[in-house]
Amino acid sequence: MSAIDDDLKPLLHREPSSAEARLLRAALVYHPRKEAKRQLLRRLGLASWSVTVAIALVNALTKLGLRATVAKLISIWAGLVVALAVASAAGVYSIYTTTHHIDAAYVPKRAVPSASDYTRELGAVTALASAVAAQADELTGSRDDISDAGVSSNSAYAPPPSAKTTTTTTLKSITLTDEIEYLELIRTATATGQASRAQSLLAQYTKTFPQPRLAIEAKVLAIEAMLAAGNTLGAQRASAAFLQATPKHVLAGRVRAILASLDGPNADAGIP
Amino acid sequence: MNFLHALRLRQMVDLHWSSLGRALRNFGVADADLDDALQQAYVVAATKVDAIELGKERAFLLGTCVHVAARLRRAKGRAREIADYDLDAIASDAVPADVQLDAERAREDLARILDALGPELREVFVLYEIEELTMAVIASALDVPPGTVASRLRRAREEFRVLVAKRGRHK
Repeated sequence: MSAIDDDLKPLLHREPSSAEARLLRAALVYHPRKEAKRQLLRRLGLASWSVTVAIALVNALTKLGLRATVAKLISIWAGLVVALAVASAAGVYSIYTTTHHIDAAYVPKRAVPSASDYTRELGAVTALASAVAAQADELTGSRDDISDAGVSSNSAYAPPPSAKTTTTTTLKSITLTDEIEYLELIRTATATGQASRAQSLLAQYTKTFPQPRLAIEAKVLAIEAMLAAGNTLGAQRASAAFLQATPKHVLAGRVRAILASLDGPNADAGIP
Repeated sequence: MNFLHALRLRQMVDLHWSSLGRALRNFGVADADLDDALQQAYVVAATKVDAIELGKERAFLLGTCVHVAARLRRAKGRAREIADYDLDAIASDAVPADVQLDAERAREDLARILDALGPELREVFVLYEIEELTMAVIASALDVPPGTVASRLRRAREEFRVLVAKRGRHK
């Protein structure tokens, strides 16, 4: 039994003075870059004061062994908010009925929609569905291609409704997750050798995301797509422009590596 | 992403940032690519934060790091280099007997030994011996049967011991 236990014990803890353990201890030493972490938090929208304060509060209370207290505080706080909301709604309704002399027991009858209303709504829904399907085809091509490339169907990007029909709704409904998934689709296309598809998706990027939050990441993907398409000169120029514009960005190292691998005339041309 | 998801993700960054960086380096990601790889791992976590089981955040993130490292390796075409690695180079480049092993040198030696293990053995070895995950968690993170994890770990340990001994003989 003890032999089995010993076998399950990591080498690091078996004989601390052995050469194996000394080597493995060296693997534990790591000094992360704080700036990279800050960049990630900003990129994911996790650097806001509300998130920071909430996390600090939870961590502090957890350290004090008050995790249960945190849960209670949250439930009490949530209860108070709900009670306040109900009370406010009741108050507003009460004032409204008083000032408008409305009998609280009166329930207005719903207007019954006519056949023409249904027809009109059906037409609008059909038009919207066509627009969405057209954009989906344009953005993702055939689903079969994606499956062939090894991407599962649930990870395929589902584009937001057409900008022509619902511009306001589209802007509101686009989330960071949508954008991340879209970029992942581009990355996958490049990685699986579908460079033209990646470039086509990139061409649609600014149209699909009019207020991009990951524009810099998209630029790097564009460089990689150009490279995959054999457009070495374009990739060199775009890399140089990227490094001049954002020399300290966390992705600058990746772009420098691309530029260095090209061995072109611009590789040593004073690019930062 | 709602506020609770944001809080959870932020806590995942605060708690595991260092250990993920360390794991990525031990998976063979070059220092210059570490920040980029870390960002990729957390971007994946951000898209799936609502699907990650409570208490299994670290295992999920480490499993993601394995995939990120593999993708970087493929992108750089280093897989062949690792497969063709000359094991004698580890020994011939070892520290002279009269020089005390310092941490940096040990890290370089370890990196070479891990390179020599090959990706599959290396992933399991790093997750078990350095990150100290259980075999069941590793099986879940890598999406392989537990028996496969056990056999890879056994082979990795054997090769690791041989390589460390080889290095020691040349000191």
